[in-house]
Order: sequence, then structure tokens, then C-alpha cells
Amino acid sequence: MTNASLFSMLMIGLFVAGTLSCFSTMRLQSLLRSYAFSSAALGGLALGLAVEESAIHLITVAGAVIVVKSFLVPSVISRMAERSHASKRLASSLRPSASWFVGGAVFAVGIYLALRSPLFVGGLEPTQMTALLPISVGVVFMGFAMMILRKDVLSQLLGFLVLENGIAAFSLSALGGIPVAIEFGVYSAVLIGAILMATLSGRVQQLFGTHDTSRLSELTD
Amino acid sequence: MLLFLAFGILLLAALLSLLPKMSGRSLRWTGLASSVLILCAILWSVGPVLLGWTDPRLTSWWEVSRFASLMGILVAWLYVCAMLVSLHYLHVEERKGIVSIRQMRLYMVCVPLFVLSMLAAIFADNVGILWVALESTTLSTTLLVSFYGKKSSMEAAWKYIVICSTGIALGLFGILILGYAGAQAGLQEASAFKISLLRGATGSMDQGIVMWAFVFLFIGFGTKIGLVPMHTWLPDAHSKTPSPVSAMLSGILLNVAFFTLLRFKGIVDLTLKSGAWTDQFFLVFGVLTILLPSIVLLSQRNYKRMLAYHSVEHMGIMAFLAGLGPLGMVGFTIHMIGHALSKSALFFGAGELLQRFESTKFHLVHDVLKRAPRTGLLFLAAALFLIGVPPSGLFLSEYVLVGTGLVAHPFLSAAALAGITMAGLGLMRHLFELLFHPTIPEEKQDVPVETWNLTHTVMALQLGIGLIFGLWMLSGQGWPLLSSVSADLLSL
Repeated sequence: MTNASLFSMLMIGLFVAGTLSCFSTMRLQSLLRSYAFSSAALGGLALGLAVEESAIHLITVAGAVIVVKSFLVPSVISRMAERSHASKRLASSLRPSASWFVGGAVFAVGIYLALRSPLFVGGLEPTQMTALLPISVGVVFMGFAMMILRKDVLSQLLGFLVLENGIAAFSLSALGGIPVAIEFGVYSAVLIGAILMATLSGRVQQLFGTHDTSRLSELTD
Repeated sequence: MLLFLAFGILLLAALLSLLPKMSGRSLRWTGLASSVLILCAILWSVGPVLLGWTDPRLTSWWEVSRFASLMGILVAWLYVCAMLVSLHYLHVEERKGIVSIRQMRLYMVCVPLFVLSMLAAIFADNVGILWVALESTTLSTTLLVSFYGKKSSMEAAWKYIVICSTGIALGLFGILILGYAGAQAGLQEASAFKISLLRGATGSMDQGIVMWAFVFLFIGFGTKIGLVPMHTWLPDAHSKTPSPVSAMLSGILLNVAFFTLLRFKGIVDLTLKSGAWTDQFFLVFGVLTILLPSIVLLSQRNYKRMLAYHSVEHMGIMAFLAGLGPLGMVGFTIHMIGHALSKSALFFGAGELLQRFESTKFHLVHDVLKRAPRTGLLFLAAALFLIGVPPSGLFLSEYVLVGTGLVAHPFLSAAALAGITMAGLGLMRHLFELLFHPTIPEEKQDVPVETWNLTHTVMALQLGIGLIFGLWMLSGQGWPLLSSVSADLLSL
């Protein structure tokens, strides 16, 4: 195993650790730090693959991931939360200790389904790229579960971003990244989406006096 | 080239609306001017393709097919109608102090960007552009859902952006899996992201992977279409936007998302060498999407929300038709056009009712036919068109659904028919209460005498076109053209 491969494997481990931490953290600043950390690991992974596969365009991807997801998005959300005087304590249907367990279980189910899916049929060589494929599906599942289990708008926003990180990891593992022009479009959409969601969450806090989504129940039939 | 000109005009219109010196009046006229220019550019650019006078065009990023041309023209037409209605609607809102100049600027920035996103999604051959464009339709309209700044608007906007963005993110996952199948089949990185090239590689794509991709594509884009059970955002969002925007959201955006899904269905069908597997999704989810809103419609209390639920039901009808093979696809095309015309007219009318009676609640708006006869009559005519009363084109599409469906899938078709009947009854029940029920003391009494305005003209125009279209289709003369246009969506 080359140094670049070892580096990529380390980044995959950090990416998973950061995501699991996102799933179970109950304070906004820690959640944002965990998200920034896992995104930086994803950027590092793209960088490792760029060196290993001599894929220059992945360097741009790595740069975009780190700038957008590790710096811009967390700072926008943090600023919006401060401006709207949002509670730093986040709401979830689960206790922190149960979150670790449920997060791990959801992650394992995602990996199991990916391994059983046709995505894995084709006799792929065991490399960090192939290891990342089921992991990315697991992360998508975790993001989805986070959006369902968390009860405040900011955590749901972060859940969406975790889900998107899983999709970005999948694009790295299955396709070695996507064309730079499209990548740029996708990250721009994610950034604008995060800004819009953060803005809306601020207005929700101002109008409802809380970020709790169970209070958003005026529109019913 | 004209397509890029259209994109440029829309960007320019959005940028011009940002100028601080623009008054409310100039903002509204800029919006209208841009919409007329877009209609001209689109008609000139893709009209000959639709009519079969010139061949479909394919470049490295864009594909102008006959069906895409039809969609493009519908988008441009509804844009003109919405801007004409906005001219009157926003003027009234500004006069009453409901909308500030800042809000009007936001409106006139977001709407052209929304139209630009829809056009890009329709004509994109590159799936990356397609995805970004479809996501942009959500991003550009979120602030229009929260436009009035009320608690309920915020709730609707939050649900809209979170559910739609998550759905479209799952759609991206499906696109990547499809790209992965293309790459496995030997396509280069960039080629695996082009619909036209993916279509050519279907012979060597792994069927299992493609089926997985379709599941995510169906859930993802199905969310944007409003298929049950992913529809929960739709009634909230479509009822909270300003009415001209609701007309565009219900009348055309759902169709754009549907068109996207059908393009991917074509790739999957080619890979599986049969449409039977994907048709099952459309039939089952189609029936669910017809049945659920038809039940909710019976007890609806808000007329804008009722129209939004009707949009869900009509997406169900279109999904069912899409699962019925070539004949169903012609029915799908007819239904799409008829629904776009009648639903947008109804939302324009709903805006007029809201401004006049200052409520969207059924129990606070009565005796409309006497107190606002022009709006009431046009609203009734549009509703009759919507439930498929001849000579509405929707009668023909629903006839295709029943005729073809009962032979191929009798139980599902019977359930669909029951749902369509219930939804029609629900609509007429509420409508009769709205139009004929005597007023009650709780509602607004001092309603000014109604005069003919621009909204009425647009509604009448929409209904006139709908009438001509329906007669053209029912006489059989329009059938050959729409058959050849809808054949674009059939891969086998």
C-alpha cells in the first residue's frame, strides 16, 4: 500500500468519524465543527485520490469541498443562528447515548444494503475507492435518518448536508469525481441552498420563538 | 443560439430588477417585456422543431427535441400570462400596502431566474446541468413561498426547501448511479453524464445497477412532481405563493419535473429492453396520487389549497397515463397541456378572489357569481375544463386512461376512476358553495362592484386556447401531431 493509499484510508476513517459525531452531537457549535471536520476529511480524500490516480481535476474538487463545506457553509449557519438568537442546544427524538447506537446501526444497514446491491457486483478490486462506495451509501442513510430524527430546523439542515456529503463521497468512489463544471454547479447549489435554509431558519426562530419543527404545524388538512 | 439569447434576456431581467431606482411600475413592466421577448425567442427557436419543420437539435450540452420544444413553449406562454396577471395583481397589492417595493423587487428577480431554471432543465442534455437547473427551480422559488412573511408562509417555505432539496439530492444519487452504470459500460467520465450518449450505451449497461438508479430517480424526482407519499410540501407551497407564481408552480413546474423523470425512464426501459418494470412504478404511484388527494378534497377548507391538491391528483393521472404505453403517452401529453392551461387560469382567478374577498377560506367567501360575476363565471368554466367536461382536452386524456387502463389493468384503473370521480365531486361541491351560497355575517360584506380587468382577459384567453385545443383534439385533427411529439418520450 502506497503512502497516498494510506492517506486516503485515513481520510475515509476521519470522514466516517466526523459523520457519526454529527449524528450524535446535541450542541450547534459542536455539530458545525463535526460537519466541517468530516467535510475536510472528504476534501482530503479527494486530494489523496488526485495524487494516487493522477487526476488533476480532483485537486479542484478537493479545494471546492474544503472552502465551501468546511468554511463557508458552517460560518453562514453559525452567523445566522447567532443573529436570530437561536438556542445552542439542539432537539432530537433520541438521547445522545442512544444517538451513537442508532447512528451506527443506520450506517451499518446502509453498508449492508450497498454490499448486497448490484453496485458491488462486477468483481471490483479491493481499494479505498471500492471501500468508500458502501460507506458513502451508509452516510446517505445517516443523513436521511438525521433529518427524520432531529426536531429542530438547524439539525435538519445539517442532516441534509450530511446526506449531500454521502452523495459527494459516492461520486468520488464510483466515478472518480464528476466533471469540474458540474461539480462547481452542484457546490454552488448546495451553498445557495444552505444560505437560504439558514435564512429561513432565522425567520422561523423570529416568528415562532423556537427552532423546534414540531411547532410548525399551522398548515394541516 | 436563440436559446442562449433567451437565457441572457432572463438574466438581464433579473439583474435590471435589482437596480435601486426601479419603481414598482417599471419593475412590473420590465417583467412583462422580458416575458414577451422570451415567448418570441422560444417560438422562433423551437417552434419549427415542434411542428416537425426542422430536425431536433443536439449539441454537447443541450438537446432540443420535439417534446422539449412543446414544454419550452408552454413555459414561455405561462410566463407571459403570469407577468400580465402580475401587472394587475402586484399593482393592487402595492396600492393596499400588502407588498413593499423591496418585496416586488424580490418577486421580479426570482421569477425570471425560475423561468431560466425551467428552460435549462428542459433543454439540458447534460444531466449535471439538468440537476443544477432543477434544484435552482426550488431555490429561486423558496423566497416566493415565504413572500408574505406570515407564520404559515415560513412553515410552507421550510417544508418546500427541505423536502424538495432532499428529493432532488436523492435524484442526484440516482443520476450518479446511472453515470456509474454508463462508466462500467465503457463511457468516458464526461460522456456518462449525457442523456443522448447514455441512451446509446444502454445495450451494455448493467441492468441491476440501472434498476437501482431508477428507484432513486423515481423517489427523488417524484418528490418534485408531488407523487404521493412525497407530496406533503406541495399543497402548502402552492397555496402560499402569490397567485401568478402558484399558477406557474402548478401549471408547468410539476410538468418539467415529470419530463425529466420520463427522460430517465427511457434510458432504463432501453436497458431492460421493456417498459413493463418502470410502468409498474407509474401505475401504482399514479393510483395512490389520485386517491389520497381525492379524499382530502372532500373536506378542504381553503380554495387555493384545494387547487393545489387538485394538482397532486392530476399528477397522479399523468403518472397513470405514463404507465400505459404509447397510447397513454399521447394521453399524458394532452393532459399536460390541458392541465397547464386550466390550472393556471384557476390560480389567476383564485388571486382575483383573494384580493376581492380578502380570504382563501371557503366559509368566508360566498355568492361569488353575484358579487364578482366575471371572476365567478371564468372560475366555473376553468373548473369544468379541469374536471374534464367536454370539449376540454382533459376529457380525451381521461377517456384514454379509462379505455386503455381498464383493458390492461382493470383493478388499478377502476380505483383511479373512482378517485378521479371523487376529486371532481369534491371540487364541484366546494365550487357551488363558493359561487351560489348566500353570504354570512362573518365574511367581508362591502365588496366593490367588479369591473373587467387584465386577469379576466388572461383567464378568458387561456380558456379560449383550451377550448380550441380541446376541439382540435376531439375532432381527431390534433392526434397525429401530438402522437409524433409524445413518441419522443418512448424509447422502445
